[in-house]
Amino acid sequence: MRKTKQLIMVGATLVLAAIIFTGAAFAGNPNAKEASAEMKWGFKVARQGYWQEALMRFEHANQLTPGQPRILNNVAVAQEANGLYEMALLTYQEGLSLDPNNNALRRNYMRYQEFYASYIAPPEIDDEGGKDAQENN
Amino acid sequence: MRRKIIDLFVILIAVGAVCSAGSREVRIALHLDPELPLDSTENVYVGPILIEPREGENVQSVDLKAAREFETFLRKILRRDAELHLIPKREDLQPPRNNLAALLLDTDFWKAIREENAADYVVAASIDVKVLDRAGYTTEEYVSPQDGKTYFRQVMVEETGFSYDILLVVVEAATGSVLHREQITDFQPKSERKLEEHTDMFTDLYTLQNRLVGIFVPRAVQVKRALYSD
Repeated sequence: MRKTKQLIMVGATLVLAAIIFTGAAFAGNPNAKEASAEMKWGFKVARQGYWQEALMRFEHANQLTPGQPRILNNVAVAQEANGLYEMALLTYQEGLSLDPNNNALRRNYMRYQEFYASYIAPPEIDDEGGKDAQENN
Repeated sequence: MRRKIIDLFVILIAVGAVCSAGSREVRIALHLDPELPLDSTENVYVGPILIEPREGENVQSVDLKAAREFETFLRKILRRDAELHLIPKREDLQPPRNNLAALLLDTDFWKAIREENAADYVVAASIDVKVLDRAGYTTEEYVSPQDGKTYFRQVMVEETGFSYDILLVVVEAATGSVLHREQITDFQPKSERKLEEHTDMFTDLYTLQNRLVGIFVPRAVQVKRALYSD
């Protein structure tokens, strides 16, 4: 029983420390706080299918704190959802150049490439009507 | 003591997860523009549907049946899903050639369709259907997880059904120029017992249907993406 209490205390202290740490980070940079709020709001409306507003929110977050791979990931996804496929490609590439090991970005980029090759720019068919490595979708 | 350290480690991971707010999977409908922007006021003629002859083989009854069924299927899809205005089929229209590539060079043929039927566009195709009735053993490599050595093992493979290879073209009847060409392959699985029955050859072929409709009308593709929540 005592052991459990101790563990709860340790956990609560750590959570409090994390909150204080995050708050301190935001206090030092008010733009970061606003960008975080924009990301949260953008995520919320994206889940409801309002991708135009989501794109606007994510882009605003990117303006407030430029060069954040997490924000660039969301901007790229929202661009895809709005049919801006070429812009999404550039945004994914920008994000990956900043953080090549970001798993979400890498996964999304791979899926984007698969989608793009299948639907937007499928391989050309030669003049004789034969297939040129075109796969069945 | 050891138990305490493990508990502490678990709490640290949980706190880390709460604070870092990772990415979540979301579903998106990605919109695709049609290959040909038509406004449903155009007159479209469907045909001819040619049989692509295979080297060293004569046309078989399954080929004839497949061509007929495909034409019916194509008309249904274009009328129902793409909402195009289709011109009724003319039985007397005979193509001068049975090879689609050669026929595409014959602009007079396409212009004649326009003059006789007032067609704006012609949707033609060549179809190659293969009856696959393959069942047997094949040898495949197998790396043993125990000793890491490569062995060979026999695996039973069964593939029965109709395999389609379709080249679909959309021709502007006024000029005879090809506006769009689409190579589509699909497979209709059938049980070995039903391979002799050449009915419902194009039922529930979603790939084929989706590709055909996508030429004429906008469509959406469902995809998954990871999105950060903050």
